[in-house]
Amino acid sequence: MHLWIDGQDLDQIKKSFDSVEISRSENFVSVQINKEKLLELLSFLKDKLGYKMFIDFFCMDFPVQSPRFQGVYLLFNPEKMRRVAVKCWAEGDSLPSATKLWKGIKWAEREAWDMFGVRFEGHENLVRMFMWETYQHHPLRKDFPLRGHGEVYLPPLSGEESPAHNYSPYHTALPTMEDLEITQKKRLPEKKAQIVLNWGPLHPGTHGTIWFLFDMEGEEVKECDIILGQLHRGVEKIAENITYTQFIPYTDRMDYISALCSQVAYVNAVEKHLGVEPTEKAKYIRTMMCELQRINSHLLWLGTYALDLGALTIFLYTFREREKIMDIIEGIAGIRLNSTYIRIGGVAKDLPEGALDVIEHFLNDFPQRLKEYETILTKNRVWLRRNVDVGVITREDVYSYGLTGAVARASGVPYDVRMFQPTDAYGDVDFDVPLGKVGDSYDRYLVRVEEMRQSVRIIKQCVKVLRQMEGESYINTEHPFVLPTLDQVFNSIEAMVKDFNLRIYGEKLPEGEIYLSGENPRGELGFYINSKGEGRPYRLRVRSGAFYNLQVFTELIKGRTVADAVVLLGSLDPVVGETDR
Amino acid sequence: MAIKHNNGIILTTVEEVLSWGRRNSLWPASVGLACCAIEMMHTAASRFDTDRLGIIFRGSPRQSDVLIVAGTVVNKVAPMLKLIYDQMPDPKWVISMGGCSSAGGPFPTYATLQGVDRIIPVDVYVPGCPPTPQALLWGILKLQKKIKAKKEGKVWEEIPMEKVPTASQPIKEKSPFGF
Ligand code: SF4
Repeated sequence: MHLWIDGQDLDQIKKSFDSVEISRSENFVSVQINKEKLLELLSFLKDKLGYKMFIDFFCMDFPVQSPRFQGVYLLFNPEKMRRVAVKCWAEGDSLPSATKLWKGIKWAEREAWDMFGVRFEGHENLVRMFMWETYQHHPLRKDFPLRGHGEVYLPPLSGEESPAHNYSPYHTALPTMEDLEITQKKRLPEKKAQIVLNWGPLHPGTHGTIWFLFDMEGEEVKECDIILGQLHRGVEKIAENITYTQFIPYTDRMDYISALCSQVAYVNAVEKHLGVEPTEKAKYIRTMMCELQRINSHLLWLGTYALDLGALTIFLYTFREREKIMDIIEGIAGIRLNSTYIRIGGVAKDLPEGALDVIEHFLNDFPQRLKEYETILTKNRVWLRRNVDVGVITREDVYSYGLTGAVARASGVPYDVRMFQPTDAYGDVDFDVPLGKVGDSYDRYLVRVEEMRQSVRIIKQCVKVLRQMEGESYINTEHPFVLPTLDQVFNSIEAMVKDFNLRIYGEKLPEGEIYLSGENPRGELGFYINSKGEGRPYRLRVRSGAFYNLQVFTELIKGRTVADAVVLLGSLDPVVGETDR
Repeated sequence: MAIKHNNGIILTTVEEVLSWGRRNSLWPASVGLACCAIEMMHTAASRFDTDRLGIIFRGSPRQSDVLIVAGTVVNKVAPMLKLIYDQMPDPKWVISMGGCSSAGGPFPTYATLQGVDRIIPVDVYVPGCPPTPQALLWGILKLQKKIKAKKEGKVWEEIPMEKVPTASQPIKEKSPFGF
């Protein structure tokens, strides 16, 4: 399985552009070009070679070099199932904006401006993506410290001797209400219609802390923008300061509803670069847990979606089922929600006794429950009226916005990372990928419900295989970069030394780059790791599916009423932890 | 304390009735910020069902008297959270749920508020990342006790750290036999 651009296409690029530099490795193929020719090359790739799907754009900082910043564009060819990366140095700290080619890049460029201070010529409204407008720094630059600068005097209200920790009374910069107002005003620079309505950020219907601005004419939304960053915790910055194993818990806390899937996506990227092969049993456990988590995540989506549309019963029903899955996960991993269960080389613990029986019992029961939900919803008149033909996403939109996951599949684009890039045991199990026809909210609902059924199918196959694997090892501790198990650490001195070394110095990833992704319930979750051969990544970029999926909202809501905002947002299913990182 | 008579009359004080009402109908504002909010939802939903404790989540801060800060409070959201707290009518209480809102949790970064007690006073801290629904219920029960203690004119005192029993230092109690 080679997922990167082939030699034929590379030759064509070389023929048309003489100034390109091509670097090829197994996990990453990039084409470097100078700034003048960048847009030309991008449109050549898009129109001539078929790399029409936008995947990601991000920047990197090399403080000792000049020019200092480098932009990386990731593109995908849906016919050939190939990826390509285009790199370009930002001379004069600016790059030409590619918003004319892909609409989805608008937010990515805002993010790059916010985090690195790279300007984009021709961007329609270059504002900060996450931080507020009057914020002074660009935090992902290498010379900005992780903990920021103590700028405001903000002692704890509980007095001097705080029981839990002795922190400094100086805190990093906080915005005032005026700052937030400026941020809001900059988003919709010229108010076109009657009134600007704020929805969120702390509204029960916004699925977290998303802040919507609707420019409205009567009931109709004319213009919309979304302010993110109400959960921006600086995960990418943290990653540069800790070892690869230490970062696993943070992947949970990004997309907290599908923690296990995020862990698997991340660990797979690290493993591939390290050359670690997990044991056969670990692969099946991972796939099984991922699919359990997918059901879990879709159940939360269904519950809250129905709740937003007024069906409280479904919410209580799905949470009943979710509790069962949470119990299973707790039994296996030890933690209910943010279960840091996956390790480099395998999984943290073996399956406990009886785990497979419990899972099987759940699987026998679950399809009936699913039927119950469908009886209530699928043919329900209110449900149909609110969902059918609301928020139709075309195939072009999918490519241009970089939509992935169930949102893309509901529009009929067969984009499923599990299919074309099978990691773990996905290559060995049977499942179908449901596709929608119209691409409206109703299709997205149907696709997700069907996905749950397919997940049940996958788990059944995994359970069958795992029953035969009792007693096999669940982590490949032979490899020099895999942490030994607790048992080994306590019983052998070599394992103890290895454990100490790995925990202190980290896994030394070989120099180079990798981009690998996994199919999260919310779309493609990709990890780009740039390693300089140290125990910590030089740059770790998280390509978040929810981030790009949410972006299409601004387009879909135009010309519709506010009441549809709830439907659209629910059907896109974003998670703020992942969009903001 | 209330005095019960046999013929169905209960004598009590206004204070007592108010406190009884307050602690048994804590209405939290539903402010979900991050991962902890999911566990908060689980506490409210089918299995743990906070309705039986009189806890009903409200959409508006003006209808609620307890703020459960569930999740990471980042710098950008801090003034908004303060606004919500200010909008709540008195008397009001705050439960800080999880490591993030108590002390910044696993995010000691430029973007995260290092403890919500820097902007609003907190009554009960619930540890965990995320705390389980049981832990949140524990926090709520603690808050009820706190409200009750206040009514009775007692000062609610934290247990000093050195008095908390740890595994290495078991508390030596005098045995009934005197040795
Ligand atoms: S304490 Fe843990 S679970 Fe709760 S919001 Fe913070 S990171 Fe998430």
